[in-house]
Amino acid sequence: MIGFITSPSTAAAVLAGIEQAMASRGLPNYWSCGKYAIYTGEHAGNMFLPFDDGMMATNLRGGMTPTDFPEFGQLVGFLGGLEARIDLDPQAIIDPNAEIE
Amino acid sequence: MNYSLGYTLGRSMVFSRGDADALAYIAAVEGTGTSVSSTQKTAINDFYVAAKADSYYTSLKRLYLPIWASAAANAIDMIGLTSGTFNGGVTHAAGYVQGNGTTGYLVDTVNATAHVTLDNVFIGSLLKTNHGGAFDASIGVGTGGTSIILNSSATAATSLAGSAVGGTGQIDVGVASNSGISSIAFNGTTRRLKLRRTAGNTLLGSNAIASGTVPAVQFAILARQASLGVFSLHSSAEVGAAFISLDNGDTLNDAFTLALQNLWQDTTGLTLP
Repeated sequence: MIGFITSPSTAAAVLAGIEQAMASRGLPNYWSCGKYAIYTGEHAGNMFLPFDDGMMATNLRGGMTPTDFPEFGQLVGFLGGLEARIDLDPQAIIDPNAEIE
Repeated sequence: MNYSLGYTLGRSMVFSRGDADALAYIAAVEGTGTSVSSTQKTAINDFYVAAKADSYYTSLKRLYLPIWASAAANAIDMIGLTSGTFNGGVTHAAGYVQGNGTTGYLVDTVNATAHVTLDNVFIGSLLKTNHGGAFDASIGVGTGGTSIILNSSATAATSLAGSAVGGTGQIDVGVASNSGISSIAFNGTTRRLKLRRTAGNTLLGSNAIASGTVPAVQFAILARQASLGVFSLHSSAEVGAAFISLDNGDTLNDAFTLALQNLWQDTTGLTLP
């Protein structure tokens, strides 16, 4: 799965930025890229922000996608640009100690 | 007055006198830049009218109808007009949303404790097609004995399982297809797992359990929120509706799921399997 690896504090700041982008337009917080703790592998301890092409093409409202918002470029730039994305094994975000049922 | 003008005015007059909550929901959807056809408006109005006439409307806490191919419109709750939040990889298609099975989900706005109690809960989801993934949640919150969840079985690829608060283990039933409107209800004594398909409404299983504790985190759709901010059991199922309600008993619960079937079919032009 494609996305950014970043610190917990940066991940929180990015999600707050997305929420602020909607709030500044008088909109509810209806969409986010989401963030996931990474439990295993070389990036353990960091956060994963999913950012694949399909997600960036999501119809948010009235045909507008995340990339149509000016804040998108700022937030992606904050994360190092789209070229900084990696392909993370989905198993890395599964807590091995989580209660199954 | 020509027919088309008369027809247009007639529809307008009908909806200016429509159910107030239906009008509000339609306005909210249209406010996201999404078109709502007259057929869809009629179906939405009919749903609210029936829900209030049958007295289960006040028990409904959340009803998401993600059919609009738009995140903002799909996130609107038909009951309180609140907006859930879509996260991660979710496809917004005509008639349903589909998670990517790894990161996508919709999370509700308030904790489950604000919606249901430990001995009074009724949740469900509409799956457009059979979902063969093992142990994937279409709606859920909590873990173990405090979970309220509908999911496919951990062992059977085509199955339906559900938990309500307090249950040890799940009602877990193999089915030919888990598409349709699945629901689990609990009245403090007995939990019931049901599946409504076009062919009928089937009680898949029931058992007596003790009351447990409602998790103090929000419900997720297309996944389960295990604890605050921790989401798991992501599903790639095609979900056309999801709801959180109090348990009204089987008669009214069945009336609601039938009305939901009609609502989804009439607003999408699709047919429940």
